[in-house]
Amino acid sequence: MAFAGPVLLKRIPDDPAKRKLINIEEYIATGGYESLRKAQSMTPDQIIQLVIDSNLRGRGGAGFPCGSKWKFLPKDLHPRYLAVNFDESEPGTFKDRYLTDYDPHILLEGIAIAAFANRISISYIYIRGEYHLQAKILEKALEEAYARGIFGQKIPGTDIVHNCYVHRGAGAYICGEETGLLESLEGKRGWPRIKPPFPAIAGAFAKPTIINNVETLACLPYIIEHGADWFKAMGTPSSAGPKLFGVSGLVNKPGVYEEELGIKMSTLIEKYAGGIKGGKYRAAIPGGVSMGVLGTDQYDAELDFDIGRKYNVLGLGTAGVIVMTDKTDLVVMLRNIVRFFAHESCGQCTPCREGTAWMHKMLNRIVAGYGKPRDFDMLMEIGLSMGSMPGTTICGLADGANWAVRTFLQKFPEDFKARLKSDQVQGVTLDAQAAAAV
Amino acid sequence: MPTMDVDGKKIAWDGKKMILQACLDAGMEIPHYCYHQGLSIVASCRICLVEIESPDPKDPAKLLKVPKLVPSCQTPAVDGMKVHSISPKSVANQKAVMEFLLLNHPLDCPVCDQAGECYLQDYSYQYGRSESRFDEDKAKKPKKDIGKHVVLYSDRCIMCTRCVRFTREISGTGELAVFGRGHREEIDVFQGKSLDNPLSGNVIDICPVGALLDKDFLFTQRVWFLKKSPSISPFSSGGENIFIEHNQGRVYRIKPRFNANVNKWWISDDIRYGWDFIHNNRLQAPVSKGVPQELSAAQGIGQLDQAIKKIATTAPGSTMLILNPFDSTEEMFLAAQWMRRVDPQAWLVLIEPKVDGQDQVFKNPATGAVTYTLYAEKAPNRRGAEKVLAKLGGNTCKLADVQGKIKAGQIRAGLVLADPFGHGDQALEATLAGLETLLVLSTRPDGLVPQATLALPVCTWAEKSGVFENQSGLIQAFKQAIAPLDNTRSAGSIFWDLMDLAGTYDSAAVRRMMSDLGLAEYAAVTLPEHHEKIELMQFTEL
Amino acid sequence: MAWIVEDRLKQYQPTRSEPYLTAEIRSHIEQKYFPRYPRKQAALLPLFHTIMHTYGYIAPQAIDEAAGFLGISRAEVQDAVTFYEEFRLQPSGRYVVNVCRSISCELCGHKAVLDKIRDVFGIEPGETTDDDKFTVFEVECLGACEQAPCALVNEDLHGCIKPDEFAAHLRTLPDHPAAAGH
Repeated sequence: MAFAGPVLLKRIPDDPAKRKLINIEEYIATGGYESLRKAQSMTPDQIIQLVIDSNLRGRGGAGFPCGSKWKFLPKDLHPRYLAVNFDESEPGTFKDRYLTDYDPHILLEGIAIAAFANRISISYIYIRGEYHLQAKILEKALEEAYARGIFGQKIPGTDIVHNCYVHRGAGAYICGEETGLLESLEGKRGWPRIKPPFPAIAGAFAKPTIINNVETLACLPYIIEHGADWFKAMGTPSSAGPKLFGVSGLVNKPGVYEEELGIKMSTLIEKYAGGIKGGKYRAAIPGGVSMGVLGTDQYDAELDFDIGRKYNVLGLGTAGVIVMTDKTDLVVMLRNIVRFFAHESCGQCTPCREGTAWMHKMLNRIVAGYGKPRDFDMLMEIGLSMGSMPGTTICGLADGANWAVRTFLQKFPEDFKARLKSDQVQGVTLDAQAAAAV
Repeated sequence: MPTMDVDGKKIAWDGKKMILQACLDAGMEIPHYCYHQGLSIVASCRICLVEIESPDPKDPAKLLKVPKLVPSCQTPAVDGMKVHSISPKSVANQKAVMEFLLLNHPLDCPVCDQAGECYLQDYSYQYGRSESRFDEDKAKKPKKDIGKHVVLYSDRCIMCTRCVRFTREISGTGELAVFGRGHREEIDVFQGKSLDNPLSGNVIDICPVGALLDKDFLFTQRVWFLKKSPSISPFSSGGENIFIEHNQGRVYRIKPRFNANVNKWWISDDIRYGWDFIHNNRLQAPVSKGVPQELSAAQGIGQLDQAIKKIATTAPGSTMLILNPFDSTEEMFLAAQWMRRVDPQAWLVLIEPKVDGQDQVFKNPATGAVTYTLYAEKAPNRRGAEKVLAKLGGNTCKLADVQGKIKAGQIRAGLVLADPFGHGDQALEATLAGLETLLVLSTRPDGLVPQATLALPVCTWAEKSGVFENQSGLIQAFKQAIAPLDNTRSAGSIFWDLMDLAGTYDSAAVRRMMSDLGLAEYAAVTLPEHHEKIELMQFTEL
Repeated sequence: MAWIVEDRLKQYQPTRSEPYLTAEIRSHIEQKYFPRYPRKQAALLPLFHTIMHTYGYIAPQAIDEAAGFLGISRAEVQDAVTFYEEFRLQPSGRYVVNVCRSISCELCGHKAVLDKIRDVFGIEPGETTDDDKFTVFEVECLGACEQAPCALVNEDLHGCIKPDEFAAHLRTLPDHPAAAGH
């Protein structure tokens, strides 16, 4: 473990008053685009091997090894596209936005390196519609980069002109799912596709496409600059490198903090986020609501890609930590999470479409005071029946709902059972608030 | 041939097939909603999920258990694979999906047209729960009028999207789409741009539940009373395979019958909705010069016989037989045979079928493949008629020449087999105005009947058996669906009696006669079997 | 058939005598966006962002015009448009206040913000003030959880909201938002 200070956040001072948007001149003056130059002196195979050697795993939620994903692109099929997943809609996640607020060029340099290594014709930055300011920042940064020939030129050694465009989304969490993103890019409803065919073979517009998260691409310039060993020296054997952790909820200093993977959650909260606010630690979500919840005895959980296996959550996800205290009503929090999934479900496959809505209605009824004893087992059963891991749904949104429900019920059963005492029969009329439509 | 083991049964298939399709072809059903062989695969209903053990690519003798359920509609069948569709995991999923689909589904079975042929009912019985565990308020969705022939009950819709895929891939018109997101989404059309293409009725067939319903058939009959008779469309030269569904002598609807080479799973709206001429506007008694006559069947054909022979014996070559391309080939053959027996120089005339513009070809916009052709020639059996004329040879002429011959006194008596639709009425009435003796066999009381010397009532194609030959030369037999209307009989039976053949009209016997005379292709044609619903459901002991 | 409540056969009511897709909007999309994608349909989201920005909502007439412009059927356009939260088919106030209701914002008091808006402006989520100035909606995570509770007012993000100050700020907003370039 050798974390020596901010890497991705190196241009963003700790003191908020000192932070500002870095333009291309300042970016270059602090070493920016040097890695791109170095990368262009290497061969694509060398770069891909370097990324594999560095153990860089995707920072978008799934943690898939980046270099291996790049290798899926078929050798001689062109054109190829890169879709940058800037849809960041997972509750608790704001790291990509934070990075772009101040240092947009780090993403652009990462895109240019990925494009060089994979012979990409067009990179589309799919940014969520709600990030109005960030879309404008990126457009401006792109203008600066185009003016300096970073984009819009032939990739050295080829006849492929590489262009990069911003494509704004319009408010749909499911468009952060890789094939949902591709459908939205093509101008259709964001219904995720069935696989096969995989995006690397037939992705955007039926052409080979790689999809990478913003933070994953932002790591590339530093890997090129310092090498694989430097990257692997940070973190753990399974989870290499630095990571942007978002901390929000009931802490004194919510924000984005960079540390190496494997840091304990308690350290992150106490050392960086100013400690728990207004109470004692009770529960925390480690990486966006899809991951589920960590229990009261899991405060020291290590935040790396093994967290799922060790602590009974789905995984590290986007590392967006959400902290709850003993003052929090966990039933209401679960209702909030399930409402999110019911609202954002794309509606394509039966278990997710009907199941999330059912759980939402059930939790509304429980919060309104009409929970029945059998609701506990029903919620568990419905939750467990859905997900791409058991294979019953097309995409992973349902897995998020599954793990959120199961971990809350498994780790905090008393909170729920205390509310499930009603002996009202069916046909209870709920008040308008509780029955509010999704 | 590769084989796989599905729940202990060996299933064989050829070519590249998905597990579900291979099983369906072998007569074994795995429950499914969104899958349809004629449409793209979406794997969205999730009820067809099965557990599989797939051969290890490195060591095909070894089977690797796939840890998650896979959709059988989307997973290719592999030689040596094992499929478990009734394992505890698969059954749990089937039960879960059934429960999810029924959560908001209205309790409409007693008033829903689809009852009896509803996938939701069938699978609920086989794979579902008997009790609802839903304690919340059901989501309500509106009922919509979305097209000339179709209503959409959105609360019954299970979002299988077959109809949306149909309008995008088969008709290419894209009128149906999904609006909204999540559990509130609905299938709908753009306001003012309704479901308005010549293939619109097919969405009703493919809808597995009672969401898309036929306005024409709404509330008219319960489907379990209907009998299905296999038939061929008489509306165009396409020879589309259909089922005539009827009960107690009345036709209630026409549905497509699958034929891989002709119409696949589809029929056009004019076939689906053109059948009311069977029960409406029918001639039910002989008519002479506009006055109904009380004649028995024997008396009727006796008079017909007399009328022709009167002219034929004194002035051979001055009689004519006008055929229209709507009758079966056997009938036309018998008619022509009899005519030439009475008057060897009788004129044989074929009315040219109406051609409505160009053939309309529907293509899948994404792949360019032809999905359906709506033929412009609006008669089913021109080629059959032409074959009969060619075989018999002798005096033949076109309708255009007939008027001149009548004026010149060359033709004095004519027997017309009238068409059921009145396509050529105006031209015929004008042409035959001055004919001395006009004999008509007609299904309707209008057209030539008022001016006829004698008109005898005959029955429609649905009330008899025979063959049609379609535009590509395919000879297809249609089977009688309902008994002929009172006092009517088939044209074939009239000529059978006139020819003094033993027994009653038998189209198979006529086909044998035709083969003997050199039209060999008719020997092999047989009537399709009377179709009973194939019980694919296997009751599983759970 | 009295129980059939939606009649899709009758034409929609046009809401603008001139086209929604003006020559200016068309050439903007044709020149800036069509060249970026192999298919015209992919310009659907940029086109409707422009329409939302210009008109504040999407009328059936706009969908009708967009269908011809993008080369797809009207139902397919509406299919895509109704999927996304930001594309609204009904007009709303001049300022749309989107208050985040996801977990961090609920933990940090988004209800107090909504209560304050109800007290001061008299509107619940989904409603518009009588003078058509404000509409308030509840939305899911805006990606500013470290600034919870937060809200998006048209295109501006407000974080660390204190209900009183926020309501006061809203009242100071000019009657009509300045037209900001996209």
